[in-house]
Amino acid sequence: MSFLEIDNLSVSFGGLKALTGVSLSVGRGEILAVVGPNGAGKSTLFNAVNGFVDVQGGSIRLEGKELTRMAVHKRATLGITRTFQNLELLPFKTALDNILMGLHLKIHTGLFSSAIHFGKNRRMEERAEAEALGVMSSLGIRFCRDSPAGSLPFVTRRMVELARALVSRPVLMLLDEPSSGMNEQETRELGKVIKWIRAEYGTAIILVEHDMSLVMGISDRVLVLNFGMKLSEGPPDRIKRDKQVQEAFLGKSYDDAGG
Amino acid sequence: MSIKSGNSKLYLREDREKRSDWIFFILVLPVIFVLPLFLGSYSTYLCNLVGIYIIIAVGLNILTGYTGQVSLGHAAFVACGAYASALLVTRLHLSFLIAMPLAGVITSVAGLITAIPALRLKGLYLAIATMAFSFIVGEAIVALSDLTGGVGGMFVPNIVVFGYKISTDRQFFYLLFPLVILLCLAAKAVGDHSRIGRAFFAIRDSEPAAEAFGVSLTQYKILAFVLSSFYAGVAGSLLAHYLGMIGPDNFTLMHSIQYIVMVVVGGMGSVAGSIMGAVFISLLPEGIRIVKDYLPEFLRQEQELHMVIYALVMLGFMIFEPSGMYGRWLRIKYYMKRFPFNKKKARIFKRREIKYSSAME
Repeated sequence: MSFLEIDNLSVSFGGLKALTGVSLSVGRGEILAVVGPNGAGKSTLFNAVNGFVDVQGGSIRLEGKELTRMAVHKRATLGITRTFQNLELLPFKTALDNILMGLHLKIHTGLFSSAIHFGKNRRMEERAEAEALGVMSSLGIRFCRDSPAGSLPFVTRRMVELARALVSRPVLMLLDEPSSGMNEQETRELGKVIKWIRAEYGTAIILVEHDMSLVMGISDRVLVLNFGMKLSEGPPDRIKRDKQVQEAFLGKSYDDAGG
Repeated sequence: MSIKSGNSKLYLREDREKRSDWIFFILVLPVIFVLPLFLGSYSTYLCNLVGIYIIIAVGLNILTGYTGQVSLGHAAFVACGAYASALLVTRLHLSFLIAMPLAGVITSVAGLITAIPALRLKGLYLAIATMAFSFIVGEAIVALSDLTGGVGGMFVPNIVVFGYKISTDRQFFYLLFPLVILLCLAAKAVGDHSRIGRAFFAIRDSEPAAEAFGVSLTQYKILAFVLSSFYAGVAGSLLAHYLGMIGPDNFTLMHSIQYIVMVVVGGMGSVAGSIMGAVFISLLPEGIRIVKDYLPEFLRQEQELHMVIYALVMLGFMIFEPSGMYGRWLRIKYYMKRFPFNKKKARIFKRREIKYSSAME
C-alpha cells in the first residue's frame, strides 16, 4: 500500500469544479511533480491535502489514516508541512525565529514554563535552536539567522520557508511553486537541494512547478492536471512525449488539427 | 485586516533579549526601588497609576501586539477585575493576596467567554464586538447596583497584607512594582522564546502558515484573550484597592481607547514598547498641565486642550513613527552602535529611501 493515497477527489467552489475525480498515490520518499496550465487545479489539490479547502467527494489517506475531514493543524501532527507560493513568513521575526516556528509541534512546554523560561523550556528552546541552525547551515542560509525575514532577498526568503518546512523532519512536504522568482542558476541549486532533502530525510515531496527543466530533472513521477481532471501520469520522459500533454500546454499542432 | 507592528516597508527586528538588555535592566531596577524615597506623595501616586497602566498595556500587548487581535473593550476586563476583587474582599472577606489572583482568574473566564464569539471575527468587526462587550459590562455594573453600587460607585477597603495595612502611596508602590516587573518579564519570556509566543506571532502575521505548522487558531486565540484579561483583571484589582472608590466612570470606552493607544504609541509586539507607551500616555496629561501655564491665555482656557494634544500625538506617531517609541529606540540603538560608520547604515532608515522603495512597488 502506498503512503499517501488520494482517491477520486472532487472539490468545487460553488458551481466551479476545481477538481473532479482525481486519484493519485505517492510512495514513501517519492518526488512527484504536479504540472498543468493555469487554473488546472494544482493549488486546489495542495490545499485539499493540506486541509485549506473543503472536499466534496473522495478521500485522502496518509499511511492508511483518513485525513479528508481532519482540521488543518491536526494534519500537521502527522508530519505534513508545506511552503507557500506567496511566502507566508513572519516579516518582523528573525529568520531563525521563523524556522523555529516550524518546530511548534516538537516543543512541548506549558505556559508556566515558558513564562519563567527556565529549566525545561530553556533546554527545549536550546535544542530546537540547534536543530534549526543545523538546517540553516545545510541550506546555506545561516548567515541570515538574525535578520528579519521581511528584509531578506526573495530567494533567501524562499529558502527560509523551505527550512521551516524541513526542520520538523516531515514525512510529506508540499512545495507550492518553489522556484518562482528564481533565475536559472538558483533553480538548479534548488533542484539539488530538493534531491538532497529526499536523500537525507526520506521525505516524500509533492511539488507544483512551472519550470519544466526542474520538473524533468528531479521528479520520479509527473502528474498532469487539466481543467481539474487528471490528464496523464507517469515518469517525466514519457510525459514529455505524451501527445495529450503537449496539446494541453501548447495547443494542437497544425498537422494534427489538419489531419 | 491584521494589525502589523510598524511600517510594512521597514522591517525592524523584534529584538530578542540580549545581554545588554539585562545590563540595562539591572541598572534600572535599583533606580525604580529608591525612586519613591525621593518623590512626594503626588508623584508617587502618579508612579503607582503608571505601574497599573503598565500591567494593562503589557497584557493588551499580548492580545493586540503579539496575536494581532484588536480589543476595544479592555476597560471592561479591568472593570471585571476591579469589581471581582472588591466584592471578594468586602462580601466574602477574603484576604487581598487571595482576592487579587482570584480576580485575575475571574477576569480570564470573562476573557474566555468573549473570545468564543470573537474567534469568528477579524479586524474592525472584532473591535466592534469587544466594544459591545464593554457596553454590556458597563450596563451590568449599573443594573447590579445592589452589589456594585451602580452609578454611584462603591467603596473598596485598603489593602491588608498579613495584617499590615497598606495606606500610603509609598507602601503601595513597594507592593505594586515587584508585581509589575514580574508580569512584564513573564510576558517578555513568552514573547521572546517560547512556542506559545511564536504561535501568537504566527497568527498575527499569517494565519495559513500558523495552521499549516500545527497551531490551533481556536486554542491560541482563546489563550491570548485569557492571558490578556488575566493581566487586566490583576490590574483592575490593584486599581480598585488603590483608588478606594470605583464606579462605571473608571471603565469607559475612552479608557479602552487609551489602553490601545498605549500599545500602539509604544510599539506593538514589544513589552518594552508597551511600558514606554504606558508611561508616556499616562504622564501626558501631567505634561500638558505643566506646559499649559506657558501657553497664551485663549488656549489656556480651552477645556478640551488635553484631548486635542492627545489626538495630535496619536496622529504624529501614526505619520512619523508607525513602529512606535520602541521602534525609534531601536533605530537610535543601531545608530549608536555604528557611530563612527553610521552614515551608510543610517541611510537605510531615512524616510526618503522608504518612500522610494514603496514607489518602486
